[in-house]
Amino acid sequence: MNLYSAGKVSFRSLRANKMRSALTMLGMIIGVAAVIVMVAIGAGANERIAAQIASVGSNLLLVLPGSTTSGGLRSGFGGTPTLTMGDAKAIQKDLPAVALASPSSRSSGPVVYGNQNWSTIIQGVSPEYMEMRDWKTIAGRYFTEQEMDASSKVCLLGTTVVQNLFGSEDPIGKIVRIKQAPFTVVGVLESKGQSPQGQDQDDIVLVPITTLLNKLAGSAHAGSVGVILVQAVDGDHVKEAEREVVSLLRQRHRIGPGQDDDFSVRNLSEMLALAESATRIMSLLLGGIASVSLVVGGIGIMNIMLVSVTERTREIGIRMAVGARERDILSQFLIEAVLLALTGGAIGIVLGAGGAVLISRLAGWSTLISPAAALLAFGFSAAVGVFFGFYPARKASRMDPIEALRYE
Amino acid sequence: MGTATIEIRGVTKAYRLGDIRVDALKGVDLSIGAGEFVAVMGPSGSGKSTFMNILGCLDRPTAGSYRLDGEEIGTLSRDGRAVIRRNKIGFVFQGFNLLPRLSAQENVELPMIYDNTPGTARHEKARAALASVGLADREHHLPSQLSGGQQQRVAIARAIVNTPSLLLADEPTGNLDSATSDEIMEIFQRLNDELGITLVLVTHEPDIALFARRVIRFRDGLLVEDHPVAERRKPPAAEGVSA
Ligand SMILES: Nc1ncnc2c1ncn2[C@@H]1O[C@H](COP(=O)(O)OP(=O)(O)O)[C@@H](O)[C@H]1O
Ligand SMILES: [Mg+2]
Repeated sequence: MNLYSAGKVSFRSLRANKMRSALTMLGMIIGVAAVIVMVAIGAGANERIAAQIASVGSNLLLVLPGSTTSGGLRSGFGGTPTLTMGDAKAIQKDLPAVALASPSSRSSGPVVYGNQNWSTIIQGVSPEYMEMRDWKTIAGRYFTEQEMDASSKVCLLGTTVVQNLFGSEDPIGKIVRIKQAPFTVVGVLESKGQSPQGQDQDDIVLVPITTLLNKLAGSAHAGSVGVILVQAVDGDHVKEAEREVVSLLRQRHRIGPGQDDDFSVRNLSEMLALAESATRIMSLLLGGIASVSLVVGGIGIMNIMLVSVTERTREIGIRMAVGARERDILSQFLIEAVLLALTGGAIGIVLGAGGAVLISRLAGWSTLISPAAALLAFGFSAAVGVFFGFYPARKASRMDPIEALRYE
Repeated sequence: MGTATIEIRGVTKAYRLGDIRVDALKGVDLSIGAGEFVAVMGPSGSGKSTFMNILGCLDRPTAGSYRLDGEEIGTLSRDGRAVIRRNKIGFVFQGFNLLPRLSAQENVELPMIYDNTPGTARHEKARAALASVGLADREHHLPSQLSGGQQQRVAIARAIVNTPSLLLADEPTGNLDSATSDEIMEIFQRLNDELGITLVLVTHEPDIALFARRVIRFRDGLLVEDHPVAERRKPPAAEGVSA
């Protein structure tokens, strides 16, 4: 018997029992839809983390003021500022495992252009910061070492700020007022999208840190920086850079042996890698749980196929009497099971994709439906059909023709 | 359509029912030549169906030899016997054994599905077979929409559609009234007369057996009688089949 005839025979017998076929498929539909939704959520989370890793930059350490408690929580942030411009310079100059270090401080306030007013984050950084975060300009330029040394009133705008202040106007060379002081716009930053914390990274104005500390912040914080971003020479030296930074800062801050650090160092790449593996485990777990429902769907198919084989014993006998071989009967019932599983799987993929879209709309989670995942689910449905259909089909094919013909 | 020769030597069949052994056939020797029409008679439980099932390759003898056209059947595998059934044997049952969800034509096509006859040839052959049993206009009827006699004709069309050389019928008229039985027997007679197809037919009605050329009789699993039909019955309307 060829595949086409077998498929037709199977399709007809499924159609003859519409309700039963539909209910059997329901198990597969739910299973596959659950897998698709779970994998979409997992893949979406993974993709977000990956994008964040790319947006942060590589091989980075973050040095924060204040000590770290044993629980990993930082205390003293915003208390006594302990990091200085001098610390940042020393880290970049004196440490062999460190390529670059940029001090950074944040403030916030309104930025005004003409009659437009936009409240945003004003971040002071050094020129190296751009390179370290792999952040490019889409118009204009970075500020220079000279402008940094001179505490010049120059700034770069994030795209969100540009949109809100300038609309379609070219901002380069224009004067904006930051906390009343006039600044020249020298560049526009490439868009970076959301940060790991979900903030808009393009809603920002970058100024030289010297300018921020000397001209914009109150005198209370003069000379101290918020954080220092450190980049190791390469991926293999991140740990070493971390050790060097710790020992240098302990020395500079005159912290005796046994005393706690008054700063803390975070390995950004490591944190993100950790987050990445956590989401991966989570998506595997979700997929695994959803797969259980696929298996349950498969058992449903096996159950119905066993019932169907028993009910159709006489039909099997007739087919054998007119010359069906074992493999003809086997393929007929196997195809029937696979057809059930595949149809259920296809419907499940469509419903699952719809469900994933709905979840991302309603709950705001990012989901990602890859064709590969859909194809895999389809293939898996077929495998479930073959696996759970085989035993009933084999049972049918091994019947004794005379016994089968005599069955009432 | 070809014709078949049958050689049966010392065939026995024993069934096991728990501890009890039932000897359905106790050693049967029989030769059936090409183009013969044999009626098998005997009381209920004498082993007629058992014998037919072995002839039809639905079952295998416990011991002894069965040669169909010189080929030993007893040692064939299940699939080997399936292929013989498909290519050489047509079987007609008392209870018709049609698939209830398939139309008359689709029922007749069933054996051809298993030898991969292409669709168009399959439809044509099935229609021709139905026409030859007088059901040219009933192709798309379901079995439930046909009378018993018509259903049995569909079953005959299915049995002959693969041009078998051996046609077997186990009490084919057992469920039919006598007029319809005669119509069915005319078809069998014509198949044997015109196509030379070897025919073995079980019946317990003596007047049905008279359509055959030879009668054999079973009793308690043994062949006890074997003689030609002296005065063979011919259908009153010799032109044959009417719908
Ligand atoms: N599958 C079976 N299992 C056990 N005994 C059987 C089986 N088939 C037939 N028999 C027995 O074999 C004997 C012959 O049966 P059968 O060939 O059907 O007789 P007939 O067709 O002449 O009425 C009977 O005694 C019957 O009970
Ligand atoms: Mg019988």
